[in-house]
Amino acid sequence: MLVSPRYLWLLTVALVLPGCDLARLDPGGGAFSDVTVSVRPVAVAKADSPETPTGADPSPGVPSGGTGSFSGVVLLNGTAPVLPPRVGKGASKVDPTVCAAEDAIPDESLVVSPTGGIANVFIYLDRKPSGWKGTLENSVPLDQLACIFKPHSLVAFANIPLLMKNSDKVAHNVQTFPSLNSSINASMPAGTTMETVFKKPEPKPFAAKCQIHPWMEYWTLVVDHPFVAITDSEGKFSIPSLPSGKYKFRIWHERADLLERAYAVEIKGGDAAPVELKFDVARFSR
Amino acid sequence: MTRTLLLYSLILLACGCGRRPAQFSLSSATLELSDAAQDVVREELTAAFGTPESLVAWQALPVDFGTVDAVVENVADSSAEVKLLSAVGSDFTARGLSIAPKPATESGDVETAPTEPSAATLITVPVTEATFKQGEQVALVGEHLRNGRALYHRHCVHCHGVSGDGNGPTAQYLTPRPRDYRRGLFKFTSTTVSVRPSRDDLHRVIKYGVPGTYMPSFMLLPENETREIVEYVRWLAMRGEYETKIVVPMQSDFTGNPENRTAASEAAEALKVFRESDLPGLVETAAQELSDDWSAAEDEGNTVLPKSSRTPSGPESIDRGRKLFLGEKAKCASCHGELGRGNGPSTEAFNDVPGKPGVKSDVPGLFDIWGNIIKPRNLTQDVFRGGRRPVDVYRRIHSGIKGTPMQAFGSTLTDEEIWDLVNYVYSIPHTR
Repeated sequence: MLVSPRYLWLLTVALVLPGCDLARLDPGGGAFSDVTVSVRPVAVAKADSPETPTGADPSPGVPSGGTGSFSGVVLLNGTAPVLPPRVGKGASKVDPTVCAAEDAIPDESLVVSPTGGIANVFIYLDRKPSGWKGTLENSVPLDQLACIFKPHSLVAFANIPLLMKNSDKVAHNVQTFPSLNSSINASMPAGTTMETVFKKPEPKPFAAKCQIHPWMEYWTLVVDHPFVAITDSEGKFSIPSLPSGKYKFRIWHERADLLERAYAVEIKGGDAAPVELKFDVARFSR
Repeated sequence: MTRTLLLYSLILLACGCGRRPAQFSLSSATLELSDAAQDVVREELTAAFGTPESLVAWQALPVDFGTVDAVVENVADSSAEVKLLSAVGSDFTARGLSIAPKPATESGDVETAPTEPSAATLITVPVTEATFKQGEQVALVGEHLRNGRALYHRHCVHCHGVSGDGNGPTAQYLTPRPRDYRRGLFKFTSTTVSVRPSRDDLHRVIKYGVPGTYMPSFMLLPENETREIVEYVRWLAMRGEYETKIVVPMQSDFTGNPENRTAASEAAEALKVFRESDLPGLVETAAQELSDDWSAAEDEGNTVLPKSSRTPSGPESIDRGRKLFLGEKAKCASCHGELGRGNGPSTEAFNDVPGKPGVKSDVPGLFDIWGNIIKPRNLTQDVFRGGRRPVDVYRRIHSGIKGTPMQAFGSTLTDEEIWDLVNYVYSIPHTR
């Protein structure tokens, strides 16, 4: 009877459950494992590498080689989709007397001009060109009006305060979602201003929202150099004063993510010829 | 009969004998990189933090690994005999620990004459890399880390997971989900916005639990064990943050997404360049940032302290608090609802799925930074997850709750206004 199938099944289950380790049926999680601790000393940085980073490849003698601009237009290849508004007129559940009271709140995630120019495309260098030294100015301040963030896309400079305003009649809040910086979640009553500082450049633009009015969103790119542009309502952009050399630009849009990871541009002591960058509409679908 | 026995033997053999060792997991961001890039990340993480069976105490981190001063007595091939210099508890064991050269003191001198220990304790320690000379001052490192790991694996791993990712075996059945440490964000802290939790904050959470959630109180653990768990949790959080700091700069160039990937040979070359020229700088910067961020949490200047003592509760203060709650300046009612039931208009909106801007969620409601639906507190229930002391409620209002939509009102409300709100919040469960 003791070797009947029922008892043998019971025995199997009893043996299998602890993984055959009859010696120590520990509470699980390997709490009684033999653990060793080894020591890693404080890292010693290697000497500054002479390798050029992926973002820039300037030729020697950068300052004397002259500068030039990189400009162009970003166009949509295909018919732009007509996006429904984020909030219809009079349809806001929060603060209906102010938000979407006069006009519906548009969906700004894909803004295309009648000529096919895509707005709010970021064109930027992944890191500052080696050997470049310059000063950065304050960036465009952020504002909030009629429950919309203005501008929809902006550039902030590392370690330079970004001014944020609430010119609206209702309280808003700004919560940022950066990758490498600390996020903030600050309340901003009507008519107030505040400043925030990003300490590190970010590899891509990140979103920021208002939690009270959840359709409100804007995008920020943090860089430590001035070689960045956002396309205007016609899709046009211009990055002036690039030192001569070879560069690889990143081109990014909030719907498509990275449109171009390493768009090659060469500046030879003068302005580069304006480019026309065309991207398929399928890349902007979600 | 023989067939049955044979079948069972096969089952037992197939299951394998012995325990499978625990392993740290990689974050979802890392798993989106190309395979070769993942290997680079995995290698660096293992060098800096080790595995759950062989931990690495990286001395660049602001973690109290547990150091005991010792002096080398004898050196053999692969082990060294050391004499402990400072007194240790009766339950101290050097099992699994390593020795490291004692860092020079701040003045730059290395102490010459060791003080005589009260009881001479000779311990044999395995030595793998560095060579030690007889009479050299060393430190026996890792006691708290080793103990913390054992305690964590006993008490915490089933919910919080081996890597502290909040995804242990029990986690899928819990709402709210256990904390994912890997962002370094913890909800109920005494520190100001953008600052990590202090050791005291984590100690409180472990000791008192989080009422209203599945996090129990571990008050029955001895204080020294709780402290060791706190160090291990901090260490896991730093590991998660370190992974992010290494991986985020790699995402654009080394993604596994075939559309954006460069040709295989070019990618291999780029990865080699990254590993040799970029990675050491990233490692050093990341270590420095972790050290600064987590040390700042212990700085008293970053603790949120009320500027004035609490306004005594009474009808006037509660009425002022109620007006602020419903008013335009703080807009508490937009999330917490007019009666404080946690059903304000913001909870009815269909928000974007976190991480996928523009993609609307199927269910209405607010999200936290970890991607879970989160409900504003129902204040009528008299449950305060972060602690029910007046200073705890003050801190929630002043600095918000990190990782959640609960904002920081410290710069827009005065101290008196926050105390009025605290008094009103305390009164909500008792006035309906």
